[in-house]
Amino acid sequence: MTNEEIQAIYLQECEEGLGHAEAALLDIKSGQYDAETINSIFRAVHSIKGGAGAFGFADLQSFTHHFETLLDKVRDGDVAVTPSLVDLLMAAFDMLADHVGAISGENAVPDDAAMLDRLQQAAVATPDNAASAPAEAAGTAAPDLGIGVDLGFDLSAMMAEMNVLAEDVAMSAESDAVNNAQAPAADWPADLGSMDLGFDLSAMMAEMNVLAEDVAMSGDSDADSDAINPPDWILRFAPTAADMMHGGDPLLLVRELCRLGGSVRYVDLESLPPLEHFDADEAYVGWTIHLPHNVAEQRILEIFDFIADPSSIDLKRAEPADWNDSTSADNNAPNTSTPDSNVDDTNVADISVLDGPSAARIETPQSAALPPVLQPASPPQRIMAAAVEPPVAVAAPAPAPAPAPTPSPPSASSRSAPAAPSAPKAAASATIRVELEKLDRLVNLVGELVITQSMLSQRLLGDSADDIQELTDLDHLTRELQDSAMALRAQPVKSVFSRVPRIVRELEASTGKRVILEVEGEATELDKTVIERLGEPLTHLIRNSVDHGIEMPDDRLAKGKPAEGTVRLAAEHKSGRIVITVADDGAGINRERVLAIATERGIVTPDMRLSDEEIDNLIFAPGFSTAKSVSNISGRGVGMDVVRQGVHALGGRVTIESKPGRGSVFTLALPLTLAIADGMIVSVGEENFIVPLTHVIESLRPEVGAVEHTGFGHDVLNVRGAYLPVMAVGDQLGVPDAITDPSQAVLIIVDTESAGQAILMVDAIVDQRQVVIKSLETHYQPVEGVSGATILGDGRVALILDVESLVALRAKDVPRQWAC
Amino acid sequence: MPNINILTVDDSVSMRLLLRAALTKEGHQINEAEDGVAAAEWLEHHQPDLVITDINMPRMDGFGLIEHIRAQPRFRDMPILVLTTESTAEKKARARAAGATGWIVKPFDPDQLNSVIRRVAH
Repeated sequence: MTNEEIQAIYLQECEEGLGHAEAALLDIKSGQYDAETINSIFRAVHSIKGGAGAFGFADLQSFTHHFETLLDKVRDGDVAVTPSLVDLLMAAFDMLADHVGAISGENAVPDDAAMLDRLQQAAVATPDNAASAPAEAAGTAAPDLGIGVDLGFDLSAMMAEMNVLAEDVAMSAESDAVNNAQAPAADWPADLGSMDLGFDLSAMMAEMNVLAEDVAMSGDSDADSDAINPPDWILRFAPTAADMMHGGDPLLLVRELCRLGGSVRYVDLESLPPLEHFDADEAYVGWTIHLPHNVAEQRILEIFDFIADPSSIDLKRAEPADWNDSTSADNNAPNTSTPDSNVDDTNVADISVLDGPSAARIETPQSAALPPVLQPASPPQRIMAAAVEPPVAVAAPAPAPAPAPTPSPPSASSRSAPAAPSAPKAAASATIRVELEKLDRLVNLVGELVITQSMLSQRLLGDSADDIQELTDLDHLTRELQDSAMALRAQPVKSVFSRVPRIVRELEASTGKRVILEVEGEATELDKTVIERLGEPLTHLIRNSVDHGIEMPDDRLAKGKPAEGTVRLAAEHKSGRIVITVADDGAGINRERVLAIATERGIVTPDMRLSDEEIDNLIFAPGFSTAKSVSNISGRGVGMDVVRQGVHALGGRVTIESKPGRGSVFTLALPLTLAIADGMIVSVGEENFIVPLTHVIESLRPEVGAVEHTGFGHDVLNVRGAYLPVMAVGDQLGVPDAITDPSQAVLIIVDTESAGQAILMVDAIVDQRQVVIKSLETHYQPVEGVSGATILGDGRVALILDVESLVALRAKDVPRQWAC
Repeated sequence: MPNINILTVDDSVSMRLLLRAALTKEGHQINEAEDGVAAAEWLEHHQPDLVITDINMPRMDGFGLIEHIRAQPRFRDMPILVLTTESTAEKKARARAAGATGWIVKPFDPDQLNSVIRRVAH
């Protein structure tokens, strides 16, 4: 998976997070919230911030950081939830949405300077120490030099105390030196082996070999030290028992230091008790490590960051005295030791190791004078290992890179066999993300299957009425499969509904109206493509309701309504379609005014007698909305015709029901999917066409002479008192051999958004069934009057009629006709 | 270092994917959980070598998860890394008290992440 793909998922998550945050903000605004409500906003912003950093969206990261800081204060109760704070959070949320939008290229990067100030001011209710955290981390250990005191010891006392151990270790080291190989644990004295120390000596030795190699290597890197460079670092690290809790392993830190070029100069063993007094959970060992001068202090300290207690570290530049020998036994006062007192120490280093492990050390080749024989060799290392390792390994009983066989440490319960690599992803994840392309392919294939099944059925059954049970079963299965495949593309309308609260808020702010938004049926599922294309029409409807429906608070009060208007947005399934309603309790459509505007714009003529419903529908007419109604609300200025076009393009319909003084209800009826449609198969000449059932009202065979000629090449039929234009499909599409005598043909009364009812004349109705829609544009090119194609059961291609545009083509002329 | 078995816990899919990309590059085996509860459930039947967890998560947050893990003797010595955008001393102290072994600040650099893992993973 590429970074871009992960980024796309991140953007999805941002949208989801914004949705959650907005819902929570609305709860807070309505006063119905608890700690978890605030927490959920925090989490959403926090997650967005996390990804913003990971993908390098600096603006977004900075903004979310400030937003999060304030939310954190609110969460902790340091900042009170007041109406003005809620307003600020809302405004910040909107800007956050803009920031996210900027990433996906939906809008420009918002100017958030003023908002950042407001967020900061709001958060300043209490001193903010969160922002200073990085500096804090940088300064953790350095100032604390008290470690020397903790490590203070008396050399002679130590020697005495370590005597018992020294004997054991020296003995075994000798035998080990002879073998010059990893000593099997069994070679160790029985009393040592019998102790349940929970570590494995040979493995530890192997560990130490690694260390020693690091040491030898790192020696080269600081060989070029000279007077111009600052002195090397001297780091004293004496882990505490706490550092070894929770799986901490100080040895790993030491190893990481060696990766930075560090070399272990000295191992403090003074507090190492006799073996029988070992406490597995105690820390006994400290390290003195040299690091090259050119390693940044921050790099060294960050190794210990969090993992080790700052008080267990002492980092400083080497003093001249330490320069020659930082390994002075006099750790108690390292800065006061004189060169003289240490001069010889360097050269006797390894001898002292052999003499007594209590003063064990590894000297690196950095000392140019070091004779080859004193290069770290096996025996001293092994002594080191034996003496140094136990406490560490007890606490962390899983030494990893062990060349020698590693018997299971007795107390090593922490590491069992690794979990099976195929272990399933955490069960809680109930969803899976699939590329849309794959889904579309599946849906498409299922569509083909439906067609093939239908063809098979037709071939086997022909026109006979016989039934083959297996074929019926196959039919059912295929339908079910198709439904399931379609359901894969279904998404809750929530994703588009979630944009509405913000639109309402913005409208409230710009119009001075007060609106309560009620949302219902957010979980209703709809095809993804439909949802994506629903946004714009829905936005226009909401704007229309607030802008033109809801009255100003004063007007409302004067009319005896509550000052706050209500806009209700709802979605529900209704007989195989999704019905979305936008209802307001505003003034309703001012029909007089609409008629006046429509007349003025030439959409209707003054002498036309229109029903209330027809007048209401005029607001959808192209050109009805003009500059006069453009408010300062972004994106406005296009009229309600956009709504109708948008919905129409989705194969849906929009209707209005308006009551003066009581409000309006806009109803969108949308197909569940764009991939299949219920169609009526009709024949015209030699061709078959599909008339989408959504348009069909009824079909009839006219009496002879019922269709009247108007004299302008148009035919009309009087249907229960209303004259409807009759359009011969064969004429319109140029199909040869179509029936031209209406009394021989079948008339289908269709309903359209743009031109009301009309009649299509076809030769015959063949069948009625679901058809799989194939895009003509994709496979051929757009054809006027045709919205797509499908493959029928007999394998023939049938065009799907675009009833809307067919009728509109003709209907354009109709008012003029009427006007004559 | 040897390849180990890691459980990553984060409610953000993209963050888990980024972690997966960074960790599998090093040859580690990755398992994922989307929050503390899911992680706790998974851990009932598995013994990873390392857990990397976010702090702010629904249902059970990182602190709760760490405490839950540490309460079980078999996880006493398993390193747990905290991966979060936060870096306040207070939060760190809380994580440490709960039993966290290491702390990584988001956004993480894959090299830094692996460096921290080397410092805590046996």
